[in-house]
Amino acid sequence: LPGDRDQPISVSADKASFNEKTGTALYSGNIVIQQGTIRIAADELVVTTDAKGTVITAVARGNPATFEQKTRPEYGPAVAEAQEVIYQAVEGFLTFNGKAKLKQEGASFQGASISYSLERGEIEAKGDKQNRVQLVFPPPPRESRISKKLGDSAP
Amino acid sequence: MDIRNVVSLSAGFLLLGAVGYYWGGFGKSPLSVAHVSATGLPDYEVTGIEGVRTNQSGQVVELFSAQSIRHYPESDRSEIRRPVMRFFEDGNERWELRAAQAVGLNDNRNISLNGKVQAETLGEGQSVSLETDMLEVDRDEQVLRTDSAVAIRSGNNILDSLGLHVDIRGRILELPAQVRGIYVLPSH
Repeated sequence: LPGDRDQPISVSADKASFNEKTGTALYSGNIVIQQGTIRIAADELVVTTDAKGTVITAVARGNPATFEQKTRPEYGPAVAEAQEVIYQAVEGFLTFNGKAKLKQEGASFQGASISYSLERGEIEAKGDKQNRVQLVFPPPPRESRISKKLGDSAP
Repeated sequence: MDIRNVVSLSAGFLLLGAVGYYWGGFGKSPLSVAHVSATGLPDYEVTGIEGVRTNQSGQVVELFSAQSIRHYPESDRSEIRRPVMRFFEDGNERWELRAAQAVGLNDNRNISLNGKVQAETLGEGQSVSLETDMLEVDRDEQVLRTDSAVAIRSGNNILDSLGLHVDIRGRILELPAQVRGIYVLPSH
């Protein structure tokens, strides 16, 4: 949801280590990250912050790491999974790397890497030699389809 | 055997037993008054103490102050009130630790801080502060350790953990269990 990005990020994990010089925190074991309706589950998480402690990036890894976010109330949650989920907090961008899959509002995307803008809900999928991009869009609902015969002119 | 011999022989044994009892130490009770007065009391007490520790090259590695220190020689144990410890590395301030009281062991090389224990980083790098009930300090290794719950704050972020291990020189904080983190983001 639009307000997600302004919520605090909460992290729970089995253990962590924090580098007091660089401000980097490495979490490991049963990690759950939540921010508003966003929920990411992973095995390992690295959070980097600037000198003032503001989050710059959060990189979650898992087999796979999973992502879920409520988009618009009338749709089900957007769900995704990948070996690596990179969250750029300032830009509000999520990048799913490694066997990336994303389902949102009935459409599904699959590729080597998928980028997802939390602000605009835009999705960009990239393939590579092994994983070509696959997109699947659901047909429009029956009632909004126009029943036409071949040769009929447009309404 | 004449009855007089028997009587004098038993009186002799009785006398011998009494002497052995008092000089031989058979009956020494663990809490004899003389012994307690020697072990129960401190051998020194210092108030308003301030100390500096330096390394072999004369560089300051620690500043130490306390409201009072009372030392008990038998257990080599010091009771310290309101200790403040400041650790340095290469001449730079690194951490400051404070507590309501502490116990010093092993010639005060190991300090166990307890009661409103607070610690914070000093100098460059992320500002980190922490609060806990009890914190063990190894002054030689400059390592901090606790099994208690710890609340750590860095900027606007909060980390909670059960237990903590801090390597001051390595600048790493290890949070061993039940870790919770809250990161507050700037509004967009």
